[in-house]
Amino acid sequence: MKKRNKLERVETRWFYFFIAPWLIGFFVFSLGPMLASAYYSLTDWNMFNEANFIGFANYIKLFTRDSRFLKSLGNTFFYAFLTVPLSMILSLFLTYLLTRDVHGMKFFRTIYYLPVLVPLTAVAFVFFWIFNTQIGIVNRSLGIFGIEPLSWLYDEHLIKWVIVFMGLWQVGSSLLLTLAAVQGVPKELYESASIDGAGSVRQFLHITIPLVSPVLFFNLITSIINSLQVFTQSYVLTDGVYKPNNAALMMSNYLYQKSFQDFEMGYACALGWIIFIIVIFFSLIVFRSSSLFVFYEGEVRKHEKKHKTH
Amino acid sequence: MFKKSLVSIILSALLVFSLVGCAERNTGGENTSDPKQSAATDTKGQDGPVETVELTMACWGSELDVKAYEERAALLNKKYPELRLKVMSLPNDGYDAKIQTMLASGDAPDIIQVAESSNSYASKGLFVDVGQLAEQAGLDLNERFGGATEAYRWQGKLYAMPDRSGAMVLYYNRDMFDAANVAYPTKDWTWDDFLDAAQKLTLTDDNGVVTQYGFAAGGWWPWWMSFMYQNGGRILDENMEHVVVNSPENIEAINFYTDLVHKYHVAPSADDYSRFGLKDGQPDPLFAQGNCAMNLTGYWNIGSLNSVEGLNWDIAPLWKNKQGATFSFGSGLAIPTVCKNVDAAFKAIDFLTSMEGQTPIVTNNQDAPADLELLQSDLFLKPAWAEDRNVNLSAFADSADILESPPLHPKWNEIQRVFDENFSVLFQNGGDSAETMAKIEAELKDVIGG
Amino acid sequence: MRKSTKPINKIIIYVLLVAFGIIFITPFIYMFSMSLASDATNVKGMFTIFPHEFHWENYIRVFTGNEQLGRYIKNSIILVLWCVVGQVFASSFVAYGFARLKSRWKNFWFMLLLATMMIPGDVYMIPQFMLFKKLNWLDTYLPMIVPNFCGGAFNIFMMRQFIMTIPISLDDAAKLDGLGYFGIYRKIVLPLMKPVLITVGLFTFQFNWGWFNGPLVFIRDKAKYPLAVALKYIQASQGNAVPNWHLVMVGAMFLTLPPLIAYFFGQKYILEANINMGSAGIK
Repeated sequence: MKKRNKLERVETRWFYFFIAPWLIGFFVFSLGPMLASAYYSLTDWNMFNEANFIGFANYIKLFTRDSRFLKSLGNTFFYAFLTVPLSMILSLFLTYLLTRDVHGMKFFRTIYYLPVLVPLTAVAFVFFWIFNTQIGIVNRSLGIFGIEPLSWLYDEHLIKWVIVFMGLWQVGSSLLLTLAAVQGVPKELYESASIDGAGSVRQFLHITIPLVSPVLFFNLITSIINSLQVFTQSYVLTDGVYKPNNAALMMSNYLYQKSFQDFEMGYACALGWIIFIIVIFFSLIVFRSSSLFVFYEGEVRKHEKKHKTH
Repeated sequence: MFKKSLVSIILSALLVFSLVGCAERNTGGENTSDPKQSAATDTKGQDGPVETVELTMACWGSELDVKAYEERAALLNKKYPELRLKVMSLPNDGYDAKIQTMLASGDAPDIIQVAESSNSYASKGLFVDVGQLAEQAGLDLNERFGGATEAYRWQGKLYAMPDRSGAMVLYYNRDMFDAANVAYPTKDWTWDDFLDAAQKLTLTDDNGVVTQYGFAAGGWWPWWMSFMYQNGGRILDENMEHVVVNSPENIEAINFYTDLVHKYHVAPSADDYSRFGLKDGQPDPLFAQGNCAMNLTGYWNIGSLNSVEGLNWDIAPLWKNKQGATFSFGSGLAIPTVCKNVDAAFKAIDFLTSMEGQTPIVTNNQDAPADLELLQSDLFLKPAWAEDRNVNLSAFADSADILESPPLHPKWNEIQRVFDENFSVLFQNGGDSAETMAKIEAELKDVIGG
Repeated sequence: MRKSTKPINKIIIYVLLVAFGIIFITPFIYMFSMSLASDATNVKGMFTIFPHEFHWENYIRVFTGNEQLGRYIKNSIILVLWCVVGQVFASSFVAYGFARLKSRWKNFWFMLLLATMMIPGDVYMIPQFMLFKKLNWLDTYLPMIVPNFCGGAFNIFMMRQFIMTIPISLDDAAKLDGLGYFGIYRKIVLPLMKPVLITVGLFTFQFNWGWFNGPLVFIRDKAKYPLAVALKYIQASQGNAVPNWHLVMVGAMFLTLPPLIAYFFGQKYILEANINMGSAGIK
């Protein structure tokens, strides 16, 4: 018993030894600024004048008297609730395509990753061109079906969809991770499956997806985090004015306005913490339910029996 | 090894607390003069005038702008060998964020280029009253700058010296005017003359699609606000304490402005711009394409138009309605209160805004200078690039008497946002502006609390 | 190889691959086309999706003219190399601790790690700036480089996920051979992590190559700016003037091509490496 305790202590020490770089970074570069921002969120600090403690006034104002914030909250949820599931589906579909046994795959994979690499200034130009009301390719295609030109960029309902489209279009980084994981699935599994007569789609659904579930889970989490903090898409598509009628204003955009344009740092800090809490809330829900659909090899000993029966 | 990491955790925790403490102290806005930090700007004894004073000036812009600023810094050094000015150039994007961060940390440049956000800093006591310094130095601001100083005044005090100051003028396509048999625009034009000309200059094809617009603008404030001012309207009252936006004058002006697009069809809507492959509110390229006859814009457009061959254009001062009005687009130079050597900094901006110090602005074809004398000199009026053509550059100096300063309230950004939100809908749909103006008035009252 | 891929299926797959490919490559082609435009085309905003004129001199102008892209590219290379080295080693180190070692507070720390990923960056900026000022790090690359040596939450998480898919039996066997935890990390786990190390390296390279806000805030001397910030100088304009978009796009090409090339060659390591996710459990 005693020996065991000692072993545990040794292991604990080594644990801290390994995570020390991050711990140091956490205390110096994250916790400090975080505490500072938590404190400022309770003040009326504007960066220059004395910060007066005002309790939860900033938080109360955000939810009761700030229609712009509530609007940005709605816009962000609209974006996140569409983008998270759609980008998961899209990235799985593209993964399926990019793991087929055809030539030129290296080339296609590079192209599919391009949207992640091209600077957003350049990307914005293309979107203006694609969604141009009169001469854009989208409206021209719709015109074939007799649909009148839609004002994608200047209509407050349509612009939201353009932003979602832009988010989906940058599926490349999660796609990259899924692809990397899929490559690790042993070939013999597919071989035995095709002997059993399973088609490539069924193989993908029943073998590939369960085996890459840790990566899918990771993609899900980062996708939730990123989509709730979406900033650049709406910024570049509207040149930073989020018109019409703030239809493109996201929470992070609003935070940026409040902090570095209006100097209302205390208010911006409160806003930052609200975004933070929302993100944590949704991430926790997903974490809680992760055991339902994620399978870790490291846990294999626990699950061994179960899998043998399959 | 474990112990070592524990020590570092404790150390960093301490650091964190000292950091929070430091951040709090700095909120006092006072100058936390850390001797090490201030070494760069230290004067090293003010009694010996031969001692060199190192100054830093923050400015934004392109590489061309940097070049002009550096030439001016060199001129300053030539005139006052003891002053050495280092140009710290920042890109436009994030300029204000960076200036704020530096000011908040108490470690700011000695001279800061400012524009619309000037009063936002001034109202927080971050800038030195340069009006008072000018008075002490016996400088006649009115003689040097005319009305251009107004933009940088907050509650009666002047917080920046005008440096660049080009009025918004009317660019027009001569060939189109000739073809439509319309007389060239003058300062005496009224809205009626303007509308009449715009209608004649607008051409449509057989399907009723406009192929050439008489005029083009959009949601940017200098465009619609100049119509308000020409009609005698204002946004805020004289002291910027009360909102006066919901006035009959303004409603009339904005109705006229939206009617240009939705009733008379002489100016493009957001969707019309897209027919020419352009974004909303981009009259400059539309004009350069040769698809619109009149365009309201600043000095910067000259350089752009010069690269377009076969476009026969000229400029004129802006029209009027009840009165003449146009806005200037420029920037000023301010001194932050944390500056270690205000006297030297003022000496520098005094020179930089003088005729001699502003010459590189003109020779580099960078902008219109704020110095009136230079603005009326042959150097500005007869530049080398205009030798073989006839461009009426005196339009800038002729705009001096109708030049208005926008109400640069410290909450200018938020004010603009309210207009953007509401006008983006109005300008898209057209119609009567009365309801929108009432809504704007209510929202603006909420912003400035007046 | 797989017998089930019939020619008709192959054709469908190619059609789909090309269709999506067109969607994804469009911005790159457009950017390339814009970079070859003349000054007049730029002022008129009349860019075309495929190049209709070929002003290759734009690519020389940005080096010989006012833009001086050369020195900014050099700055970017120096900065990015340091970031990659720091990030790859620190993150894998920390990830090993989280994936394999037990401690009472481990879950707490891990949740904290994830939580740091979720904090909006803007809130950090001011206090961080003050910290770096206090450390006398302003106007150096340290504020951008040093945090990489602490590992990044995103990368640590990703690496931990990958380490957890490596069978523990390998660790156990190494322990029996007398290896300590550090030895297991270095000799057993690290080599198996090669794909994810390269992935993180690529991500770090890509992120820092294009990072704008950090260098903008922490560096004052223009000569030290990396390429991403320098691009904004070309883009800078006054009022509503039209920036030199064509020259911006030349810079954007330089901003895109290095990570693109790195990805093209890096994907071989990422994708061809067998990340053994299933063999130990399912036999």
